[in-house]
Amino acid sequence: MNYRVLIVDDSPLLRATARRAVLQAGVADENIREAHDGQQALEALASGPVDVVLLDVNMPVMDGYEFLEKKAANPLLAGVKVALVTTEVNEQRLRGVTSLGVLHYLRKPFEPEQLRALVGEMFSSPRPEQP
Amino acid sequence: MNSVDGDVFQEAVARALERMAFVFTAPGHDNAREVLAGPVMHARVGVAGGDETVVFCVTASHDFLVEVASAMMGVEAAAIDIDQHGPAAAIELASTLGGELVMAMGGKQRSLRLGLPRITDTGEARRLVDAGGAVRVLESDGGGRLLLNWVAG
Repeated sequence: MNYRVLIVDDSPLLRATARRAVLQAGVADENIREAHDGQQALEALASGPVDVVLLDVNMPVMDGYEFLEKKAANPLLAGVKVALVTTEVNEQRLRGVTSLGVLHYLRKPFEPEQLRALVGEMFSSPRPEQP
Repeated sequence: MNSVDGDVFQEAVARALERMAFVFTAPGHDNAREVLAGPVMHARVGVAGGDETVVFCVTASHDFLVEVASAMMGVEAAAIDIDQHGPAAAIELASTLGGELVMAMGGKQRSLRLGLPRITDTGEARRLVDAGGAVRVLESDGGGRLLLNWVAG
């Protein structure tokens, strides 16, 4: 599968879990990249194409919300799909991120199968509309 | 703070541990001091919202941390180096189980913020236990022990 996935989480254990789930979804290992925080994620997006971002919210340096705002401000990144994979549960804040192009959400903790299914669903869903 | 039902939260933690790391737990027999006296690591995280702040601290035995780390990394327990992977496992426990605490505090509707977890030491963990908050001890099928402590900040 030629999809390219970026896993953004400050937890190395969570990144390991997510990487396994993405591999099981059929993505080639060389097409999976990782970032520790939102800043690293922006740098990763600038350095090469990404189809899907699995994004934590609560991270040092740059959190998931700031990442989403900066991504939304860059038209070149409009086609990148984002799923929040997070402990965030606040309904108001979660509603707010839909306006930033987030259409998928998985609450931590999750079973690996749930993440594998989410990734498969994202691959088959249409890309976000261009601004 | 008082709105958190300790028994309900403990059950939520047990379910969370099953989902995140296939670790099955039951209420432990040891008290907090017995857990703190063993080979353990600690991580703490703050929850804030409105005029309320809570400090949540997890203390996990090395056995428990190995169980979590090996499951999440998909490797055998023997491949886990407690000095290398233990702190990451403790941080992950504070983060994920802190999220469960936010949920138990009504975080779906209330604007509560979970802070960034950090490793702490036995001295601070003991002070938090002594501060009079809520305490729960869980024991895993593998014999690992997990102490949960949350206290108004």
